[in-house]
Amino acid sequence: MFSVKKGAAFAAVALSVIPLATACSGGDTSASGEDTTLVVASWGAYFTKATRQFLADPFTKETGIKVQIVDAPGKYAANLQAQKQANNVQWDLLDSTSAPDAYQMAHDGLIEKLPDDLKAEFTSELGDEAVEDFGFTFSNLGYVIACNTDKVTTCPDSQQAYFDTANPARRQMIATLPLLNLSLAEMASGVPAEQIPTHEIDLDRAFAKLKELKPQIKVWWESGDQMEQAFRNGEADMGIAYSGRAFSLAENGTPIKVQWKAGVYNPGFWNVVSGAPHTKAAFQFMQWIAKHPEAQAKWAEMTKYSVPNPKAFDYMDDTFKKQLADWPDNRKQLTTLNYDWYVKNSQEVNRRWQEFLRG
Amino acid sequence: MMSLVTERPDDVAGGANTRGSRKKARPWSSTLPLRTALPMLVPLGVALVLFVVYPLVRLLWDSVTTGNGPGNYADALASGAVRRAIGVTLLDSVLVMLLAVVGGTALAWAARTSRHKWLKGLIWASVLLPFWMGVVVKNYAFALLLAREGPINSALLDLGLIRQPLELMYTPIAVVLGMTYTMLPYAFLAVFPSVGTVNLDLLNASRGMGASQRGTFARVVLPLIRPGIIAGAAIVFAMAIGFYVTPVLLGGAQTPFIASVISDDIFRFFDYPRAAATSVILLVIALATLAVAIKAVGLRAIRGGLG
Repeated sequence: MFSVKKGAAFAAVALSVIPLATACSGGDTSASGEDTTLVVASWGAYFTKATRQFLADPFTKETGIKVQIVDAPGKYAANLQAQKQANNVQWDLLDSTSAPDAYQMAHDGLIEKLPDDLKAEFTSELGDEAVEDFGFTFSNLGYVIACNTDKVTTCPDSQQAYFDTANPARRQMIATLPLLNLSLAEMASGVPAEQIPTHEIDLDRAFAKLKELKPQIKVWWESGDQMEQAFRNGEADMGIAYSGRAFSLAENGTPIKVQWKAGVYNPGFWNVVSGAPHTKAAFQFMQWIAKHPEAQAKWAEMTKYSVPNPKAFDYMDDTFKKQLADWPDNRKQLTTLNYDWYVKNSQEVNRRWQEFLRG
Repeated sequence: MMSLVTERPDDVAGGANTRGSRKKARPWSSTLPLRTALPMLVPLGVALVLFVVYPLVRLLWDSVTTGNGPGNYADALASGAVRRAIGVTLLDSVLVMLLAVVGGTALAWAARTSRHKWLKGLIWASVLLPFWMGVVVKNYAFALLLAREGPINSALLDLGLIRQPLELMYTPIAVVLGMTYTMLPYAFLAVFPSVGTVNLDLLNASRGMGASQRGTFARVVLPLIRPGIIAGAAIVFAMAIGFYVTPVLLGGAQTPFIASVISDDIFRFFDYPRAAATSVILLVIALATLAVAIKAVGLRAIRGGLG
């Protein structure tokens, strides 16, 4: 091929050799875009589909920046660690990193800090609580107490009541997430919910509390599917559940009551990968997502996860929006976890958790 | 058959002659000359070195050089989770081995001796179908069957045999049942060649000389099919201790196999050194089992069992 110099010649051949021409103009030209392909890591299945259909495709249509989505459910940190070690970072963005992972990756320098102006913009668009130094929340949900009303007459409305061991015939379930369970145990030991976001967990006390409850835990679920299945076939009568999944169970005929009270807000985060090939375009995509509440609403309706832009509720069905973790009435009943403490202590916490669960 | 084989060299010679070759045709032989055989083996050799030898050597090397060095093994064995996982893995695998070998032998014997064609067909079909099914499908089927409100509990309740549903899912029972179902075909296929070589006239002779049915089985049949049984047992056990999906899906998080703990170390804790050490422990157990079996019945029987 011939080489193209910027200037008059550029215009003449621009139409036929757009990809080559922009490549020659060098560097990260994402603002104008045409040849940039962002690589986004996502969670697969309907999740990837929703991101593709309601976020990536409209964004490409508007900006010309292409988006490639790779599925790496639950393996963001491991993959990024490997890419970084091989000095070959291939991903630009992470779609809905789970909160513990996001804080850990920020601490490890695997994800990019938001530029100040962008952070300010996100905060004014989405609200203070939705924005962290390393990204904004997305695919949010609540960890809530859910009960099968055929089997349980009074659904516990506090963690004290959920951790009650007076009735050993109870069939309960809980997720296999150390920070969540230890925090719930602390609430059961009397730590007020509003202190949990900054509370330093007393590990001995929390594990002792969990140990008391262990005989009543019939299922330690590792995926939302497993949690739903355990409700459907009677393996458990009450459990700590994903709010969205609990509602969809109820819609599909299992009589489920959701207790927002004493629940935990569980955000995901959009992050830009540190050292990403197209940092500028990646932030541009995040900006697009933040500013398109209607796209967020459609995304939410497909995935049943909550989204950060308050204006998104205007585009949602009335029943549906009241099932979301970000709906103000629900959000105010949920506490958040102390991720900063977890990042500092994760080594010890995870090991003790493994010994507790598997040992 | 014979004539076909003896005719072949002439064909080859004739073909060569018409193409003007003056070389004297060698008689046809199934053994390839070295200069043809070696290049043909190269891809296999490369694959073997790349995908088997290198990872194994690397794993062994990493397990003693990264992290705490040889202390990785002490770390692994100091963990209650690892010790319990090894215990659960070995116990469940022994149970699966016994069930699969007994079941596989019984089925193989029935398939060999039955006079009914349909029964033989049914046995082969019921052994091979699960063999070809995906592991997730099989496990999901078991999860449905064993559920608290699943068909097994419902039937037992309806028949009045139990008052409370049995605790089946997320128990070692579920894991052993699910794994046995997966491993039964391997046991069957390992035992069948031995069973196939048993001369059935020996049974009549034994009965004719006054042996009971049980005595005939114990003293005539069993010694004859012993190599197949040991081969089957070794294969089933060595495969069983590496199981991951079935213990996770049917046993749940609280009854882990070693593979689950290794997966924790790699994907949750990023503790590769301990994962490597634990993997080597698993590997040594598997190799030791195979070595004992080879010592007992010879490599030929094990190979025969693998088909």
